[in-house]
Amino acid sequence: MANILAVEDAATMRQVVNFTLTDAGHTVAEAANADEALAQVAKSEFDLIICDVNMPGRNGLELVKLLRAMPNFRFVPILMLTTEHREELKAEGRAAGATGWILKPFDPSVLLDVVKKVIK
Amino acid sequence: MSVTFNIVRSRPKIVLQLGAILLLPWVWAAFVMPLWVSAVSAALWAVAFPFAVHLFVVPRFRRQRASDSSLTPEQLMEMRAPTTGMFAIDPQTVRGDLDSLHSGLRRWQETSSVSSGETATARDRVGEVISQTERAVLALTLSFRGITTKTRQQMETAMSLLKRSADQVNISPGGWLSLPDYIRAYEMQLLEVVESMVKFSAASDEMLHHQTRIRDQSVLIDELLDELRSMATRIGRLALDSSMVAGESGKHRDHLIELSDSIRETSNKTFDLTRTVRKSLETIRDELVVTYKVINKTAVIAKESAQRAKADVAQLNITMIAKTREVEESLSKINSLGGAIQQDVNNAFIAMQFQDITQQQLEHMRGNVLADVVRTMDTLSVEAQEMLKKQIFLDIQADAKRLNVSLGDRPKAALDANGAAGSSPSAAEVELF
Repeated sequence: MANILAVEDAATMRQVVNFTLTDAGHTVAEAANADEALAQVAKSEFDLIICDVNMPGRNGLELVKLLRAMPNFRFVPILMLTTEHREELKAEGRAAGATGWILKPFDPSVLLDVVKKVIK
Repeated sequence: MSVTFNIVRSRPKIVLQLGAILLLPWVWAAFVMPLWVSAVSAALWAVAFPFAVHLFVVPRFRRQRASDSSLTPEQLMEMRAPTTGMFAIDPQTVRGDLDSLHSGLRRWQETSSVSSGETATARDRVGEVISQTERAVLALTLSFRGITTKTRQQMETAMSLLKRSADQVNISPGGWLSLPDYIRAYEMQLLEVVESMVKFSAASDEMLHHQTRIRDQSVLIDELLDELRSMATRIGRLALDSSMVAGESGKHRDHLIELSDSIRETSNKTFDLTRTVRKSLETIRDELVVTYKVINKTAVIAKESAQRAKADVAQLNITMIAKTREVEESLSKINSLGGAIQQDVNNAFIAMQFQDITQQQLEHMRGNVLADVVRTMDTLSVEAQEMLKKQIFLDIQADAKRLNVSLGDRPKAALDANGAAGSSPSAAEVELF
């Protein structure tokens, strides 16, 4: 089972992601914004990062760029979990180094499937 | 003239149309009149045409051009020049319009100010709604999580109770058994009881067999005892004969008497012993008869019990098969129920995410739309206030009042005076509005 970091400004969404992944046996850490996420990755290692795009302060794409610049997180899968469906934003996410793009609202089983695939 | 030139430059089509209309009725004259007459007419037309444009076209476009941001202040001032004398102005109407405009502007300013405050309040309220909704949904999520966790625990407990097999069970004394374990244990106990009864029945049969043999042996012993008694009787007679012979012999009389006494005594003892053994044998035989009856009865009961137990076990097996089928159906139902619960949980999780989406939309509305509305309302309010403060309204009102007062005796003079004033602001505003 994987150690996963959920970066999401909405507490409800963080809880939903946490419950979904915890029920599947994963260990989940939470961060409410990019700064908290950076603090978390500085002290722990994660197998997967699930990140929102629209967040106060640094947005999710900026966080992805910062994480990709870190040697430890160069190859760690990063999934974007967002309501944004614009193609140009997806392309921007892909260019920043995101591994996948999941649209909200998501089905928990779909999230688990995707997590299973990217962790493999 | 610069205004005329500007209009000619910006609206050449209209100017050309006007020129054509003016020229067309005189085109035929060029063919019948002498050349110098045509030349003079053309020169006069060239002079008259700009005047016609200035007189008829320019006034039509002044109102539209007033909003043109490319115009210079001087051009605007020129455009605002009074046209009195050409159009009749009703001072009463002007004053009424101005009053209504003034009151409208005041209402606009007041409404804008109130709307701005209300929009700001709405913005704060939207923020509060977002916060409260998030807290409520979070609490709901946590409660839902608790419910689903407990439900799942209950289901898992029920499933383990039904599914647990005997080798996986480590039952402490007084502990609970699963339903299949209980059925299995009960069946095993019954089988053990039946087996014990069958063994008991077999042992009873064997005992009966041994007892028959003992009875046979006792009959043999009885016959032997009869033989011993007859032998004792014959020995007694022999001892009597010996004593008679001893009485007749004389020489070995004493020895013979002693011998015959000894034989008699032995015979008596043998007789007594035989009688004692017989009595004992008779007692044993009586006891054997009683024992035989008891064992026989017990063996019959054991056989019947064993047969009944076998039938019970067979019936139990049938019942157990039916129960096992019911248990399997229950397991299947519980499994499908578990799947349905999981689907409900997924649906609830999806529904909870809409709060986040709604929140984002509200945040957008609060941050952008409502802020823009507040800003716009403030701007409108300030502009309306500034317009109200302008002295021009006071002047217009004063002029309107003055016109209204003097209209009765010399309306034309008043209008002419206004026209003579040239670039009076009041006349310009009246034109604009």
